[in-house]
Amino acid sequence: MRILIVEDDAQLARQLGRTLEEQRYTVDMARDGEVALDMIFDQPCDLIILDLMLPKRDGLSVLQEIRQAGIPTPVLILTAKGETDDRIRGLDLGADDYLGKPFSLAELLARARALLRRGSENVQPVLEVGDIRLNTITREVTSSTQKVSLTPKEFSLLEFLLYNKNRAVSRLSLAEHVWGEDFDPFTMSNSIDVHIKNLRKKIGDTDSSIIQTLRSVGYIIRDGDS
Amino acid sequence: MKIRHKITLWVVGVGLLTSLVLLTVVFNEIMDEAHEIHDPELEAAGRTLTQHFPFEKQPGQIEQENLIRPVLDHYWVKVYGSGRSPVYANSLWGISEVSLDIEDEEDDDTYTVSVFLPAGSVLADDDESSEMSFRVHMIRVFSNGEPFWIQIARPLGELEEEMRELLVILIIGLLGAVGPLVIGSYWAAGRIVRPIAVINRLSGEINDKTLSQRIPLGNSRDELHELSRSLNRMFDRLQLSFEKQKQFLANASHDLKTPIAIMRLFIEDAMQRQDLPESFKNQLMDQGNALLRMERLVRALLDLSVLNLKEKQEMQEFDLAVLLTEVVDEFSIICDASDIRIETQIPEHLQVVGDKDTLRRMVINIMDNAVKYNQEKGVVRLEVSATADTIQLSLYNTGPGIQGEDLERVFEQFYRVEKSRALEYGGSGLGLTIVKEIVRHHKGQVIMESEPGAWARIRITLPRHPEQGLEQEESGL
Repeated sequence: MRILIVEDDAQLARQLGRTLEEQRYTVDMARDGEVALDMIFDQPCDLIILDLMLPKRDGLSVLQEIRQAGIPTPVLILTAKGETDDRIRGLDLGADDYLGKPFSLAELLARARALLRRGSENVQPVLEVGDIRLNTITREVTSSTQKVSLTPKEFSLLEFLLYNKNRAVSRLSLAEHVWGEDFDPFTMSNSIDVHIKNLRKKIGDTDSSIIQTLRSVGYIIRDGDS
Repeated sequence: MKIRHKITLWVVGVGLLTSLVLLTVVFNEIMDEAHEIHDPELEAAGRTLTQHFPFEKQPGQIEQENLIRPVLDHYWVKVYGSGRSPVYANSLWGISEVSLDIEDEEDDDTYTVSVFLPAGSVLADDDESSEMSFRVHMIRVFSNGEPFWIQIARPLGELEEEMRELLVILIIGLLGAVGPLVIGSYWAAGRIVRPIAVINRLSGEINDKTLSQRIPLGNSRDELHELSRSLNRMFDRLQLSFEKQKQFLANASHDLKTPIAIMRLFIEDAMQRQDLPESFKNQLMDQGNALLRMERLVRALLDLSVLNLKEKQEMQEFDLAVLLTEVVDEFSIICDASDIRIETQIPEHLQVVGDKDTLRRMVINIMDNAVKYNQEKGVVRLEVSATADTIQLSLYNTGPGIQGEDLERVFEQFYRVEKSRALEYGGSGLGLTIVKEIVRHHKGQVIMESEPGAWARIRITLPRHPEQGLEQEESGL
């Protein structure tokens, strides 16, 4: 999977690139809008992570041009602007998702994986660990063919942990993801344990072998073989 | 003392002083005028006497002199010899002993006004034995080398009396003028001061929220016009620096986002590594939490500056009851986890016009506070009531509460009731400041009440239609 990072801040781009490469993605980088367009038209990629504030051509006009050229590659907008106007304009112009800076790594990886899944037609939109299967489109969860009904929060937690499979996710990251930026994650993280407990009970994870607790850090879902 | 009173006092004082000086001058002039009519007459009579008076003759024979007879018949005449002793007095004096002091002046001719006690027989027409004023002309003559003084006098009659009456009338007139003078100057002072009061009121109305307002300039280009212009220029500068400050805050918080993002990515990435010792990872996690706190703070600062800069928000009609129920549900699990009971009393429908996102933010912030600053087995109670035009939210929570002097300040930026607990509770210290901004945008009111050591309660009143505001509704009641 090839990911193009269009970001003018070299440090942020490097850090992002390193992290994504660790996740076995192939990473290309562009520092400004014009270089980005050249690269996109030159060689197709599977996901574009696009900063909005760019030299020469801003992110929105890059987005507009690739959509007008009929390129369907999923685009994840990065914005430090925080203004809803920019987000809405980005989504209107054909972006698939947005992430406000600063963002948690777990959040970025989850969004990136979700977009990559959506983009490739031959991959089933299903995440699984052991005999737990989660369909990201129908939002159905089954535990060894038994259907499990989860609350939206529980579904969101499980989905997030599955997108971050084999990576430890902190309570604060979980709280941020589940409640969004308006809530204070320091307040909300207190109840993450309760949600996890309920989630484990519902998916039959009685011995905490699927969702493992990492003491003082958070939680992790590991592949059975790792 | 008010400027109006001061001006009045000054005008009245100066007016009275001027009139007094004027009256004195006029009065003296009238007095002199009256004497100038009489004095030539006395002088002519005096000249006759000096030319024809027989100094060497005895008093009995003097009366016989035809040339001076008419003078002696009409004027009071006395003659003093050397040693200034009277040598002659005509019959009008009645008694010859009555004498007059002769001043030691060297002048040959002098005029004075003297008051005599006249003999009753002389002034038969005057029953009163009152004093009488005379115009006296004194002439020095030499006869055979010896000095004589001729004193020739004529009664002033009614003149003194008239002058005294005139003086009384003038004084009464002057006192009478004080009334209109006071009223007039008070009115004029009012007119002068009124534009100042207007300028004062208008500049008082301009605060940090209405900094774009200006004092309207009058048509006349006077000092007050200048004052208004100077004040307006000052407001221009103030507004500019305010906006610069806001813009700076917005830019600074915006530019902090990318460096924070870089650090966050690094720390979270490092947390995943297997080759790092556990203790180091714990330290990294503390750093990560500190960074997250910083991120929240930067975001709150930006939100605050955006709220400040963005006067217009997306106002739409929606059901506040749904929003409230949603937010309360979000908090219910965390309250269960902390053993806090949530009680709510929310009407079924609360149609309101407002910016949904920021109102949601407002409710989240106050709920967050109510949960954060609570106690074990505590209570959070949200009560909502509505009238035709307003919605009242009251959020009560048990807990340490807020001391009296802090109540006013909880809405200030970075104000924390207990500074030492900032780390324990997290949060940016801007939560309630943002709440206040949001309420202000919706033209509502927010107050904090508390019983220290027992409870705190925040009460928010929102108009259903922010365009109408709360003031109108209150005045309508």
